[in-house]
Amino acid sequence: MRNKASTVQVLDISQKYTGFKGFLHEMSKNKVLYLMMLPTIIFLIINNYLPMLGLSMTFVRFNPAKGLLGSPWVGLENLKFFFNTNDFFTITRNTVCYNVVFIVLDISVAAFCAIAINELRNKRTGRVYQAFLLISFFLSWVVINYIFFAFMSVDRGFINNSILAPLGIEPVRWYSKEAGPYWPFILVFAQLWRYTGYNTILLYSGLMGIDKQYYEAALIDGASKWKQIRYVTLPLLSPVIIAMFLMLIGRVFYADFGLHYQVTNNSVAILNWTDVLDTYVYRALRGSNSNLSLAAAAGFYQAVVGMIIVYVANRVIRRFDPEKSLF
Amino acid sequence: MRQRKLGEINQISRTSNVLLNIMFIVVIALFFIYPFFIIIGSSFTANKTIVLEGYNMIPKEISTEAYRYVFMKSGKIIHAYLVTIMTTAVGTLLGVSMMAMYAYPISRPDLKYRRAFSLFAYITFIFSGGLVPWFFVYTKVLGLTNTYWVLIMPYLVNVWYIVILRTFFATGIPQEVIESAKIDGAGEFRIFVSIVAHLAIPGLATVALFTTLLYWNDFQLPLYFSREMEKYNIQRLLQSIMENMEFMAQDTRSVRLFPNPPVYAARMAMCVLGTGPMLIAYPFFQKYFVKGLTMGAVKG
Repeated sequence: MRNKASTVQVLDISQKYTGFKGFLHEMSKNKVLYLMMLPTIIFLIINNYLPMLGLSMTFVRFNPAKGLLGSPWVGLENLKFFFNTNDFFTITRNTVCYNVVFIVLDISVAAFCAIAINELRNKRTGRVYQAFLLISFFLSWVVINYIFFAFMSVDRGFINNSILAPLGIEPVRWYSKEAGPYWPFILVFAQLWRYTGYNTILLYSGLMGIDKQYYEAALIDGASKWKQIRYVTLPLLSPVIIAMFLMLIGRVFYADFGLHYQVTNNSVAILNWTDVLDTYVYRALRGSNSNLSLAAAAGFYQAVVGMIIVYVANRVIRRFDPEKSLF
Repeated sequence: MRQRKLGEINQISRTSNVLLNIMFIVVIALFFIYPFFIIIGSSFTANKTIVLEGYNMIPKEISTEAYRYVFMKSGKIIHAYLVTIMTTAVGTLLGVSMMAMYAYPISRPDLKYRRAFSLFAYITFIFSGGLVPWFFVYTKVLGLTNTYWVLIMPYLVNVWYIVILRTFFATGIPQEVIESAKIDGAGEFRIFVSIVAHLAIPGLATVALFTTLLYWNDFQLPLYFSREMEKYNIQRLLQSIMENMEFMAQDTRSVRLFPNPPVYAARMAMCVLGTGPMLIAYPFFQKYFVKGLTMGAVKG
């Protein structure tokens, strides 16, 4: 009892200090807590804050040997050059369109699976299905490329040899230019295949949070199962769906590098259909004919537009659900 | 009693139940089981069969030549596996500790500058330097090209997990427990290690699981930073085999043993070896993973 009183007193004293003295007092009082944060503070400065300063390399003709300050200033030249390439339109279109399709399909397929699993008469089989759907989430994109390659390899692939050949259809050269129009479908399939299990679990856990009494009340009012899903499940699940939707919208300018780089087997012939900002920047940075100015400009474009989108998405989240927003 | 009865009445019809089950079974068999059997089947098929008939599930001619061939070159595989295991273990341990040690102080209501430090981390969600300056920080500023450390460091801290852990600490650990430990004379760090971390084990385990998966399946860091095969992890090695088969390059010994190297079957054998451990650990992982995800969703 007496101890407790004395801690209260200590707290009172600490509030008397203001300004720099208060800062020092707080630092010495909680020095262990602040020291615990130090490794991550250093990490964030190196990994996140230092690259922000590095964005200024967009405005110089960057020479890695001379460093940022030694490189000549060129103003907006790099950005202008990038905006005048054909690639600028292609990669912007691909990045945004792929993401929009992914968001819509991811959420609707996962919502369907989650509700279907939830309605199964035998709960145990539902859990088994969930476990199987999740397998692909644990595979790396490299391994997924191997699996797709076993199906789509031109001369040894399962599709060409065991499906198309018996039907008398000419083999398709999947990784070359003529098969380009198939690729949006292949990538959407690959993305859904990998993430459906994961998204299903997220939405399923949202379903678990719905009070069973709503369904009982609906049943007593004579609502059929369809009506219960339409008027009870979906409205009560919508906060989870909206949160998921806005989170994904915030990332609409960032692509899944592994999907677009590995599943396409890094094929240059189909870039028009598969190239996105992340793969473009990678090739400009590390590819065989790299172009640092172009890489810096495209990276700058992605960082700035991406930032605006995240900010807006977060403002919208705050309107829907203040607890989920970050600012 | 009445409630249970209602629950039993309120079910989908038997027909739709059967239809839904059939749908799930067909989709899972076709897209989630069949592909694995094609990979495994092909890896046990004689290479000449694959050359003639392509990859298939049931080997017309069973052969272990692909595995014998791959194991002859096992030195590189074992090395790459060791790199993966080392980076995963060090990265997960170090990363989770760092994130927890950041999330705990900012979850403490009596820490004066907790808002400032939360903001310091959260700002990185909005402002980002992008990939190119990030790449040059690691290569030119830190000079970490082609080291093991660069396969660990960039993934140590994920601010999302700090948010999750902070929520976990703030809601899961009663302030009274911390207060009374303080009164008993325990230092802050001891309170953190022996009380807070213990109470937060489910949250820490979830974050650790995600981090393990990230390191284990990563090919991007070696793609960016590793210059020679010595510094490849298993995923990067698999990728290089897919790309150019430099791994399959003939030397005098392999020419003697395998005049016609089984390159097509060997690819699939490599895929099996690269995925094997993850799939064996999968049932264990899956259980905790689902638990962690469900918990995270409930907590927001």
